[in-house]
Amino acid sequence: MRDESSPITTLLARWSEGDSDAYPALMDLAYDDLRAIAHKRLRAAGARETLSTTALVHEAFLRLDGHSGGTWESRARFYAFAARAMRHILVDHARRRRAEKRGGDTVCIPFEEARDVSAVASADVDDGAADVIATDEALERLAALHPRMASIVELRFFGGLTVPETAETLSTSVRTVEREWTRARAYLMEALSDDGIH
Amino acid sequence: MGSTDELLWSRWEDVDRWLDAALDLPPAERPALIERLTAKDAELGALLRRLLAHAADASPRLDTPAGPFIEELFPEGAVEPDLPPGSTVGRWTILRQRGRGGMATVYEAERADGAYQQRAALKVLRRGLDTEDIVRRFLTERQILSSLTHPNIARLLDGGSTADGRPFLVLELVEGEPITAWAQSHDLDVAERLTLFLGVADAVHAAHRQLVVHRDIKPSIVMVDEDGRVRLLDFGIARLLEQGSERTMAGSRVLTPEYASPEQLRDDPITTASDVYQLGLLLHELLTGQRPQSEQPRTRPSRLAREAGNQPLARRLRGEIDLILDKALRSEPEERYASADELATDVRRHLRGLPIHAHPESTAYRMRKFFGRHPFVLPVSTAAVVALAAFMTLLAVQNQRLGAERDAAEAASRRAQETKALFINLLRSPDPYSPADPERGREITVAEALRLGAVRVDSELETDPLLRASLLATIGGVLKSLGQYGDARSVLEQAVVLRTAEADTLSPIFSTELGLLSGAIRGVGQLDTALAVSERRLSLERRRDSPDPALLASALNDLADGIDHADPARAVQLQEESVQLLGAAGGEELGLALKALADRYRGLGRDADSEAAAREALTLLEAAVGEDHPNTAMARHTLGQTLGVRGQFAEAAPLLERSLRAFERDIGPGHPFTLSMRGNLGIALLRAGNPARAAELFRELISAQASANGAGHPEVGNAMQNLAASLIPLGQLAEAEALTREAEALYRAVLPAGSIVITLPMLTRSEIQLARGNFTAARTTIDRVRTALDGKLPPNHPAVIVADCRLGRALAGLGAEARARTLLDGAVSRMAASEGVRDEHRRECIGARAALGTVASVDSVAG
Repeated sequence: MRDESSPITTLLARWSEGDSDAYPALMDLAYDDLRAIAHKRLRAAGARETLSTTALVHEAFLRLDGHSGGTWESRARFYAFAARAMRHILVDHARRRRAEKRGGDTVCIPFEEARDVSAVASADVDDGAADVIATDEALERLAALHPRMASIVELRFFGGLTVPETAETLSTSVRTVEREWTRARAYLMEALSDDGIH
Repeated sequence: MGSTDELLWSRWEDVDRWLDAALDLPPAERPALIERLTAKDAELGALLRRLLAHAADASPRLDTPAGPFIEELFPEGAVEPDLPPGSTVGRWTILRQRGRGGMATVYEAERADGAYQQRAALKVLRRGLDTEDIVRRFLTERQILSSLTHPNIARLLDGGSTADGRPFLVLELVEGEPITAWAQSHDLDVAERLTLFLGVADAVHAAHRQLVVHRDIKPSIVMVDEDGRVRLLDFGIARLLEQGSERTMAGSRVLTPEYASPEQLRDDPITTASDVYQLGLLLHELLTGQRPQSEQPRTRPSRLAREAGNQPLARRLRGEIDLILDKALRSEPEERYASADELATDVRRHLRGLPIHAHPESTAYRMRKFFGRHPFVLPVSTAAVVALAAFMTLLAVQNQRLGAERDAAEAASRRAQETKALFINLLRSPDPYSPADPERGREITVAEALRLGAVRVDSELETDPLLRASLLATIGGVLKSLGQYGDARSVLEQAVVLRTAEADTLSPIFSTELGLLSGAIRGVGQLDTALAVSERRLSLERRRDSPDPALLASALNDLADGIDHADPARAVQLQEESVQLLGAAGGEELGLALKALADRYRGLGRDADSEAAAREALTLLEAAVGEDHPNTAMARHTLGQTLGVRGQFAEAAPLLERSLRAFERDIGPGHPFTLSMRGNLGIALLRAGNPARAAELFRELISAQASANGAGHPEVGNAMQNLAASLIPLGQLAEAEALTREAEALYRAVLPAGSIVITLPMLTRSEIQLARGNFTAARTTIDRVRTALDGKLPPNHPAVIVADCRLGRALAGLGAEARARTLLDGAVSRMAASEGVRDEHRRECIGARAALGTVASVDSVAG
């Protein structure tokens, strides 16, 4: 039995090994902290300051992990999890938004006035939704070609980590992250701008 | 995504090398590199130029993804507990919070109307956790609990959604202690503990009989109440074994490592044997006060007791209890007790002094029956007659292939003969259920005959279960094609159960049967259950040693259908994979996969891709199965739909018209597909400027939907609403207005109270009232719309803008010009920033504003 590891460490290890059941349990443990992180990020963005998300995530991890402070490895996994969770929450939300907008199904075109009501077109919210979904989709494709580049985007774009934080989490050099982030960002912008034509 | 995007992904490795090299150069030298590349490959050169521009683009678009959402997703101040004492959820009043666990917050609650005397535990999914995955999991728990009634399982009392849409469950409240603590505090002896344990084993066995595996049995969820009654709680991670199957899917490890079975730790498929193991762990801890060691061979329970210095306990456990626990806790599932009931039986026999079944040299048994591979494809056609003809052809094929297998040759030919005889007989048999109503169409007769056939297959072929399964599957497939989903489901379930019982789950036909079953379950609206079946089928196909592309593609299509409601992006990926797999084969299968892909692209707003795929599908199907085949008609309909979405109504309408005719002829006028097609055609015609023909179609549709789904079905309301919209341009305002009232009343009766759909007939009515110059009535209608929309939609939502415009028009008509001007000004300026407002509504609003002051002209603008 793995007596010395805390529940969060065990769950993180299982999640990173591909156990899908660990994910909801992690969400459950960490949701309040993710919420706090998202909030501070929002405020920081409003104040035009860079706020280290790592500090917040680290704080959250320490509180969840309790005693040990965790191994370096499990901290890195937690960052990855937080970024993934943020991605899921945002993409789910954006998708729901768009489903509302498009009014749903394939067979029945919405009827006359339904077209109006189903078009949730508050411009700013809608752009955000399109970006989030398009990024998610492009990211899937990128992940198949270059997993690390996709991880970098996930940590930066959805998780809000800085370049050095991302480098530490992926245990690679700052220079690699910078180079790959620049390229990945260009690919995503290309995919996004193309998507916008329709 | 368009072609440039495809270039990026298809040649990504090249692209990435070039971009990396270019970024290494000083900016001044980059144009030269681009030129060099352009000379070799113009497309790639252009792409590199754009990518370099993106790389230099400092806009923060990708740096603040979440901005607009975070605040609404994580509202500040929305801190749990979110349900204060005294608030009501459904018919329940919250008394206090009891704890937060799992995915949910648990409250103590009581029935607001006193209809239920006891207090209950009310479990609400926590706010913000309502992502698709988690909601589905929560709903599964509810579904599972609703199927379980056992005195030792905490009962499900109620369930529903909170005002903000989160699901909740209400469960029997169990006040008590965990079983181990209770046994300790009540100083129970071994016999009493064993008796207590029997209640748990019985509850688990009852769950297994309902095909539910608990997966997380441990002391903390086995509670004993004041009366000494055991209750099993928390089916939060339980799974439904799929119908008739012995196993749940792999990849479902339980979340409590100390109580996990070896196969859960190995990530092997989880069976009821896993619960037997956990029952063993529970019994071990209940008797010895500790969990067994994890190493093998582990120390016997009696020896653990002796080492702990408890000689009397050691003597009591030695022998039979050691054996019972050893058998329950074997690491190989097949060496354990075959069921919770067998474990309970041994405990009971031990308590009565009878010899137990667990035996020291209990041997492992592994039996895998491999039946021959029987290639057998079921008809996919939607026409019953075509399906039956196809079935006959397939019998010949099956016969031939089976014949090639040396061992099975004789049996196969006999089997095919029998099948054929039975089927022909079936079609000849007089139909005792002949429909009285001629409008139900001839396909019903066939359906009834098939249902009769299913009964006959069951009674006449008892000795050959595999043949029985094949025939039932065929019948189920045709019933499904006919839209008789409920009947199809039960027949197909029998087939799957039969084949599972015969251990024939590796044969291709089993996979096909799972596919048909998932489709039928989807047809009756149980999307989550259907999804589980489809996922299982795909994992089965992916695990094959030598995958069959056609079967794998079919499994991919099936899962794509099933997952579309939950994850449309994944549905597209699966569908693309299937198109790719079928690419080489061409023909009907590829055509159908492309048709489905076109529908999915459209669902995601990739309308250009959708059009391309639909055109290709139509061409392929016309060549493969002919211009008038129902599948060709489906593809034509898809193309028409997509063109409609793209605004090309003139081209769309004839395509939709033609596919509708084909469906009416071959599938029957009452089939759900045919009805949807009629509605879609009506909408296209209305948009294309042919309201008279549209009105005709909607009129027919109202009665067709009413006879298919019942007069109170929302589809009937939709048809009424659409008819009203078609009658306005025809000037038949009185009838249109009456229809909007009828539709509204119908929606109110069947839709949830806050549904925005209810406001649609009201909006249409306001237009009619304005057109008739009835400003007071229009004002009343619009006030109600605005109240209903208030707070539900943002102020620059098109519906809100249109409502404001109409109120402005009504007020102008009533002479309240100042207020009208303010409203119209606001609407016009918000309209500029909102893309979703349709042109005629823009004109309506701007015209009304321009006309202010000359009130008389407002009516003419209203048109």
